[in-house]
Amino acid sequence: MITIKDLSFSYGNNAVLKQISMKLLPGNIYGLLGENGVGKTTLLTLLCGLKKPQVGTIDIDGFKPYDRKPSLLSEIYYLSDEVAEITMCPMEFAKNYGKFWSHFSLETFGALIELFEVPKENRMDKMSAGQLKKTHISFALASGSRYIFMDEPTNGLDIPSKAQFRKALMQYTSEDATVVISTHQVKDLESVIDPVIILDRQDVLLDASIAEISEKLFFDYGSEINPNALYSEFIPGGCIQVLPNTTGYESKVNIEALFNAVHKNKNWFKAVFGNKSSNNE
Amino acid sequence: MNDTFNFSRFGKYYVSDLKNMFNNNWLTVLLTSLSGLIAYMFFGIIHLLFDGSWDSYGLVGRCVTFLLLLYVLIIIIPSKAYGFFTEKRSGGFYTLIPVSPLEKFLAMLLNTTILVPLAYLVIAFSVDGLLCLVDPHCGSSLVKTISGAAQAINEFSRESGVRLFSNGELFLGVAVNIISCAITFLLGALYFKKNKIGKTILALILFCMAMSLLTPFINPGEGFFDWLSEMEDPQRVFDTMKAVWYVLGILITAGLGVWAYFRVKTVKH
Repeated sequence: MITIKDLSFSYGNNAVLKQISMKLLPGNIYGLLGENGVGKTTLLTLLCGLKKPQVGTIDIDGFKPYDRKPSLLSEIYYLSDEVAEITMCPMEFAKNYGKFWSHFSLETFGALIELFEVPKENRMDKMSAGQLKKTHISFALASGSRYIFMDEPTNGLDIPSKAQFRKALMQYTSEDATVVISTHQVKDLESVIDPVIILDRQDVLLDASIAEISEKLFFDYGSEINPNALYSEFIPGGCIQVLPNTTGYESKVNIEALFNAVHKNKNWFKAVFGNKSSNNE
Repeated sequence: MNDTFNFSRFGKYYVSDLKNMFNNNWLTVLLTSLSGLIAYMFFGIIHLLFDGSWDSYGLVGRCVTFLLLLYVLIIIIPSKAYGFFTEKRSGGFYTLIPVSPLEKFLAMLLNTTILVPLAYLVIAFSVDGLLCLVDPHCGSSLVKTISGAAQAINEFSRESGVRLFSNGELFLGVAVNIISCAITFLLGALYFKKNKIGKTILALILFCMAMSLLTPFINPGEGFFDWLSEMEDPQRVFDTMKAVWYVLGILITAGLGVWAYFRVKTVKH
């Protein structure tokens, strides 16, 4: 389990994260959303140990990630937005580095490479950005890590690869894994992320499961604008609205509409969904 | 699991690092090691073209070229092999490989301070030896010259009764020199994001300037060096100076090594 407590981080005078607290539980694929510059990548790099928390703590199974102990690193994989161009072909790369991750499976890596149709014989530094990304995604999923942090994993992927990514993510992450995916491409991952975390400048606006969101909000895909809607937007063939769920009916959560609704009604969401960090403590 | 150092994990990691290093740098090491021969052949061909006979530069030229290339390699390899360390993409991946910072640092150290200079020496000496077998103009081989120089020092010591350097001391002096130079440039490769070699040289120049400016102000106290002047035996003075020089060299090298280790341990991306 990941416990983040009163985490603050700033770049010089620019405070990015301020007193963030939350718990990330096993068996979930968290969607980490937020506008540009709110600290999504910073949070991921803090979680994996590439940065040191300036204030507050991060605890992963009793380890501090920044200590970079091999015991913890062998259970973590961080897939950055821009991935390394290794001067090896994919299988060579997997053989050379995979052995350091406790549960790495070369067979899984091979299967994923096949699934993503990555040319096995090409050197990674000669690959296109999409192929390179898919090789690293394959490595991340084959690592068998219990903590996988992905920063914009679908950036640069073509349309079929996005579907393959969702399939692979569901198929190859273990049941007790904690996956955190930071993305702006919410439509690519709408069907896989649960819970959703929405970061604001220096704050967590929402940290809720899809079930909780569905219980408290109603997503109306009708044609008439409701004046009580928290957010409404015209789409081809009608409109989408986010309403407080007063009827108890379930509806399909539209994450993009949810994101916009949260940003328009920050206080309402905080009041209704509460502060997850204080709930967790 | 020992999170600081584990022999089996280090062994596995060293093999991986070596493979990566070989993939990216074998050509640089090979070309630099062969550059002495290439330069020799080039001058030979020029001589042949303009003078009509085969001749090239002699032993002194070959010794200078050999040493120059050795230091060029020691200077460029750290940034070429580990320069990615400061890059966000490759450096981030490297930092998160489940191996301890000590193991990563030791692999770097072994490769840049021992393996690469050793590979250069083996290739350069072998090529030079072959060259001297084929070309009678080349004079003595580098191996023979170096062992001859060491022998001459030994003979001088024996005949004059003045002990200069034993073979072990000579080896230690050369090793400390090579290692300290390699670690300095390794440190530069780990710290500077761009123009790693140039900035390291600049930092060295600035350091030397600062030291020379500060030296007049460092006053160890009157009579600090009296113990040295009180020594009547010149051999004792020489041995003491030599020992101080070696100890200083080893301490500086170790200090640079510790600094580089902490850089590996605390880098942030």
